[in-house]
Amino acid sequence: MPLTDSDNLVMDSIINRYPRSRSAIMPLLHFAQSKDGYVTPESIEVIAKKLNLESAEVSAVATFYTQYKRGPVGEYHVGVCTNTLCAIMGGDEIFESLKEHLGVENNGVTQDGKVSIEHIECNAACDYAPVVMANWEFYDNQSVESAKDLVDSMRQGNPIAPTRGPDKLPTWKENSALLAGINDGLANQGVSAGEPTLLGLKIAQSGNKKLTPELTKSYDQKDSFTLDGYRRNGGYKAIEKALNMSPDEVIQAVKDSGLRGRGGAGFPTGMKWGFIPQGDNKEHYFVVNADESEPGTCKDTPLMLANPHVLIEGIIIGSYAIRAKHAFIYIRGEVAHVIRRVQQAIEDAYKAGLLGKNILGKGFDLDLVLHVGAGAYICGEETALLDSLEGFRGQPRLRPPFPAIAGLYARPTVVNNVESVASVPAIINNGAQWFASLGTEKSKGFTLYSLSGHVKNPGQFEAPLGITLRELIDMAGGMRNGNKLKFWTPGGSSTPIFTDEHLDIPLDYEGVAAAGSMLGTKALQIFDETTSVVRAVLRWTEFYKHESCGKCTPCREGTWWLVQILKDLDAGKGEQADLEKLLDLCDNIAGRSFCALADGAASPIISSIKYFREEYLEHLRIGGSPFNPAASSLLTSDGVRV
Amino acid sequence: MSTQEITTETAVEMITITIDGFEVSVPKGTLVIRAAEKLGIQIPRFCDHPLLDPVGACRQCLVEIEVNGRKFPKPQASCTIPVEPGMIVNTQLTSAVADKAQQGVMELLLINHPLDCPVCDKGGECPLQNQAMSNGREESRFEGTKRTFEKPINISSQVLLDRERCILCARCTRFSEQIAGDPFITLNERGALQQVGIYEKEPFESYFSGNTVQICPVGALTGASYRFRARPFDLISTPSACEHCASGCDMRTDVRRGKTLRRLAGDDAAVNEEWNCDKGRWAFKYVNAKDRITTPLIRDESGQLREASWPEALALAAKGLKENRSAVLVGGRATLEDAYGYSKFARIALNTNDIDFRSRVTSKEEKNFLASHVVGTQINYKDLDRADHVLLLGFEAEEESPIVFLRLYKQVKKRELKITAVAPFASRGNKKLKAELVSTPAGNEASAISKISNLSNKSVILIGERLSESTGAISAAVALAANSGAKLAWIPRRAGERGALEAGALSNLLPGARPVSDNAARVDLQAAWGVSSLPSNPGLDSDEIIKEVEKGNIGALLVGGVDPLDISPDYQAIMEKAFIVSLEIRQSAVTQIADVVLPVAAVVEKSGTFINWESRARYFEAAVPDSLTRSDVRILSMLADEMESSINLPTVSSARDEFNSLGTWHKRESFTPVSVESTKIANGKANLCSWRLLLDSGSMQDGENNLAGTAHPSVAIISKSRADSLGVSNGDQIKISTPRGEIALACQIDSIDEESVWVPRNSINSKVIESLGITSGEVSVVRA
Ligand SMILES: Cc1cc2nc3c(=O)[nH]c(=O)nc-3n(C[C@H](O)[C@H](O)[C@H](O)COP(=O)(O)O)c2cc1C
Ligand code: SF4
Ligand code: SF4
Ligand code: SF4
Ligand code: FES
Ligand code: FES
Repeated sequence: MPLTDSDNLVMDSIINRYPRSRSAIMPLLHFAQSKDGYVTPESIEVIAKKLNLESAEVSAVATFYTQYKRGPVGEYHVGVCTNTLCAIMGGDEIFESLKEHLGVENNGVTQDGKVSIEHIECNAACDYAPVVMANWEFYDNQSVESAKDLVDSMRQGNPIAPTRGPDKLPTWKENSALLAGINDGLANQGVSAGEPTLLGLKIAQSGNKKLTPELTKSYDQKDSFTLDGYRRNGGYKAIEKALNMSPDEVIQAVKDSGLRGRGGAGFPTGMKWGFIPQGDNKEHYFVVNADESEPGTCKDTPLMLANPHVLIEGIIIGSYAIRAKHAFIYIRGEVAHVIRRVQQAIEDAYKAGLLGKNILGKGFDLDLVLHVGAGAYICGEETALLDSLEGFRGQPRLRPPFPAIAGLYARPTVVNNVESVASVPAIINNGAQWFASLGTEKSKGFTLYSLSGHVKNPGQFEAPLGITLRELIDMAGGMRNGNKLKFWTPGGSSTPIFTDEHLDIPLDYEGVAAAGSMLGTKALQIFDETTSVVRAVLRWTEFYKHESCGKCTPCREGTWWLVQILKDLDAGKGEQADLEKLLDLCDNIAGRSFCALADGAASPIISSIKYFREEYLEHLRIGGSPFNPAASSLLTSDGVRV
Repeated sequence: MSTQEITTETAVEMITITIDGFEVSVPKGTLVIRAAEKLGIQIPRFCDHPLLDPVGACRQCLVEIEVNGRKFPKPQASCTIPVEPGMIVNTQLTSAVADKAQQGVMELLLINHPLDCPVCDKGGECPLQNQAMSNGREESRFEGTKRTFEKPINISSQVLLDRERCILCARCTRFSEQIAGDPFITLNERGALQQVGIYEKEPFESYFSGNTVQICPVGALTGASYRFRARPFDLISTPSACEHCASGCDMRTDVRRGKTLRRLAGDDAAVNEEWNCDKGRWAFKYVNAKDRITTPLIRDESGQLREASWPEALALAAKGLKENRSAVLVGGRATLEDAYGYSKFARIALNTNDIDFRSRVTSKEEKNFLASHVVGTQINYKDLDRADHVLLLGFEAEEESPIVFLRLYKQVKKRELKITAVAPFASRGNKKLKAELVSTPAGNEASAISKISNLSNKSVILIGERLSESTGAISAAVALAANSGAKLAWIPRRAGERGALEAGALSNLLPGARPVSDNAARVDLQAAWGVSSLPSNPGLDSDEIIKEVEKGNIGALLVGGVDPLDISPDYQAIMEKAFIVSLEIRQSAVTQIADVVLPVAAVVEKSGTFINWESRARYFEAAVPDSLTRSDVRILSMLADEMESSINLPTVSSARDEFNSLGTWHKRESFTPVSVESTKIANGKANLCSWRLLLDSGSMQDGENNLAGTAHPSVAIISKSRADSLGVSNGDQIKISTPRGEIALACQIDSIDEESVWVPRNSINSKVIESLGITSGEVSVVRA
């Protein structure tokens, strides 16, 4: 990376965003890719020098994240989602045919250097399955045909525009600069939201009282993501109220509302804020977890695309409450247009005096930095996130100390999910009692349910906690083709699966737990009777193997082994004893590993054997899968969407 | 007990917990795994290391834990959990859950392990192999494909990495980062592909890299020199002391059939903890060098050295020493017992105080300082642990006393210990220590030191042997210590200097800190030695001795382990005029000109004691037991007998016992400060500064090319403005010269004091004394 003076200035400005320079490693690596297309050894050395690190330390970080490339990629880098849901709905066919069409393998580049292709994991767009990404822009609801047209258009130099993104597809290098935090000014282009995102809102607007659009209420407005649009819908009123309260009163209000974390664990948000030591003369940090990578989870991404300001307003309130002067949004790197929108919203909020010094003249200062990840599911785990944000490999930390005591830069830190934070302005505006009056006894308020898979109309539904899957499927127009529901995840792939026995359990923290799973992220991935559960579980397990951070033995080695056994079982190889072996291995992995990722890896296996042992055995009996993958795909035999 | 830092000064709170039904009380903060050790319960482990921060990565140490009746829902990693009152722990011995968890982890660790124990260097002493036997399943259920990697790769010329064997415990990477401050090896990639590695262009050239080989719990990291040489059960291990520097490491020497095959760091919590440096670990082949002297040699009529019998050689040596006025030069590498032998020999057999152990550039100021402020005093590593500020004068800790460096680094990491260094530029080591630099050209240290004002009585001033090269600097340091109350410590480079000082191998000192000038002290020693008189006039230093040889006033020299090139390029030629008796292990610049050469034992072949900078004695037995060579003191005793003035030290232990019985004299020589003279450099010239790098051309590193391959490259450091005026950039050759000669090196631009140029003192293409004739002062620098 030969550096011009202006490159040097840009790199210095990236470093200056952070309280500690090492945090700049990730954006600097993105910046390096914007120059060279991939991370060259020279750029590793340049970055090491700039940050006063050894090159080994920088390359240790660079090799952890999949978005940093070791060699050239195409001008247009195409990622086909082949995580379970997309794969089953047609992603596998798309990926296979694109490879053939382009004459390249996974991670290959066409000879003209125009297109490269890679299979990717869940990209937080499951309600748009099958999903293809190009330079990390969304191409929703793809078919084999549309994907081929897309790559052809790229090779002709005139790529088809993204579905939810800018009017013209930026190049790989251009978008790498965006990921480095350099605003390209394209945030205002493109739709606020696609149809599935709007589904619940439309149903509510047509009079359905089971749904309570609050975060999603303005999604259908063309400019919902702008400062003006947000203000028109009553935005930034809550901070006026909050800044007139004492920080402790704000924490109390959030406690009283009963809001629980929406990132998966459901920990009471107000209580978390209350753990931050006060009067300790240390910096405090407020960190938003926008890494959304749990397979099936696709709520935060459309929220930030359509309504980024509600998140910013929530951050201002939360930071004020915990006395933080510095906040970060850690967003996954594979969602370019969302990054653009959030970046623009932050800049607009600064211009409007909502961020920076002396906010609204109330003497409260807050800096907010958008930190872009680089492809690592584990960075959604809050301590791995903090290590990643500090410029290390994103591996979980030992706890205690918990982030509330020693989080970012070993200072008291709150980490909250996007939806949790975005829920706060409404609580301040409408009062804790209003929020607490919604939902169920211990699971209060409204939340985002994401329905994907074999329903007629997948999409987002904002409803009080406690709604049932039966009600939601009903709103989604029923199962596709009137098929029978076979299995589903209540809260992402890490939560044990359910079957059609569980259609009527209340989808709140207690209800789902009582039935043996977890509410998680309310990512409801629906699979009908045409789906092979063994194939689904194998694919999820491959995901966990790919995403295991490698720190601890059971997860690192265990997922490696699990995949091999499941591959055999899917191919009908093995014997009945292998199921016991599989369960025993899961017992040696779950609860024995360093973090919850490994527990998640074991969940689909244990729960699927619990409900579908017969199906596993059937595979062994017939020496292969009794299922026809084409039957569970949305694509017809000629690759077109039905 | 826990090796976690537990201060003994404040009363420690003890906590009682129950493990497998047994109660044990341990200090608060102790980890469960170590509390179990105290009961003799061994919980299997890999990533845990008492001196590294806990990570909980391998998950081998899982146990069941209950606190006040509440049981953790999952087994916990006992290496990460501190004890709590009321805790009940059930290990694999009493909990089926813990036992299964451990077996499960072990099985998983082995699925991707090559199980090539029969050809693995670690075989026989491998924690994985051993614990797989004690805590693993009998048979693996894994039938799949193992992860494979290219077989061992060189991550430095000295260390090989076999990734297939690695269990990713991160001990090596944590050591490099946390202990050595050299994060050149890191974990790379992710998940099942995670692997230890270096940055492709930057090898693992840390001075401490060998420790990673030692703490690697499998055979993934191996030393190139030991690879495939031996199996542990063929080796005889002997606790030993390192002979390379004054840090004073405890070591273990492993020998097979009379040959040292490897050396490991010993475990001495007060000194080297469990670490050592790569020089101590790997520089031992010099013992078996081709030029090793095994029989006495005498110079015949034709001027050639020829083999001789011991009686013949001893008779000739005795005659030469008797017939001439003789002096003694003993290098800084002698053991305490040998140095005592030289000291006593000089006084009794030669009736002289003309003896000096400092075979390096020295001063009278230093000699006075050693006799007044150093001999007979004690200061400890613990003082560094407690210091509020450490001042480094003429001392580069990482290069010149690596374990002192590690200790300082530990305190810098742990509590941001403040460090200040007086030097012309901030070396890599001092940067790691975040030392504040008082940028000072060589020769101007005295005035720089006198300006330092922020020390307290909790501070420590570390004086390196090089401070003696700058007139007045030691005096300034002495004054600073007196004014601030700071402690003073002197850290020589060589392992034997402190012992030689205590043994009185110096012209103003008799053994046991007795000043030559103190009548009572002399009389006391006469009584102890049973002699009627001892020479009372102050003796000569090495420089003066050489001058007297040149003038013809001294006619014979007894020389033990000295390289005249460490002092001056002229000395060998001058010394040649004298009758020389040389006690040596290998051919040297002295044996070349000696009249009698008497072979002596190398450190591994003898027993003895080294006294480190703290004044801590470390005694060791011979690691190679039946060597035919003898320690210097035994030969000196025979020689004295031959001269008919017996020193009566027939064995090493008799020398040690006698020395110890002398005790330490209570009165010291007074210190006379030397006034400051700043070095002035003529316009257009540069001021030379140099020190030795840890790994360099020192003769005791001979024969170990793998180690030499990790030495830092020889470069000359100049300032940006000098580079600009010379018209050179990084890597260009420059020439540094004095009327005597020149050195040509690639330059490296750094923020060094404008006037200064730095070169390594004794590295490849950079033999400062030999080429330039000086160690500091005026030189010309031009573009080559
Ligand atoms: C493997 C793993 C991945 C996770 N991914 C996310 C994520 O993408 N987004 C998120 O908000 N929380 C994620 N979490 C949960 C976080 O660790 C943390 O609990 C959450 O961000 C807290 O926010 P909340 O209290 O607002 O829910 C993940 C946890 C694990 C174990
Ligand atoms: S369970 Fe272990 S290997 Fe897996 S992601 Fe967590 S820390 Fe990493
Ligand atoms: S090389 Fe050895 S010490 Fe380093 S991680 Fe691997 S097993 Fe552990
Ligand atoms: S630090 Fe000194 S004493 Fe220790 S091993 Fe190295 S050379 Fe030997
Ligand atoms: S976007 Fe493809 S599975 Fe979620
Ligand atoms: S020894 Fe405890 S986790 Fe490794």
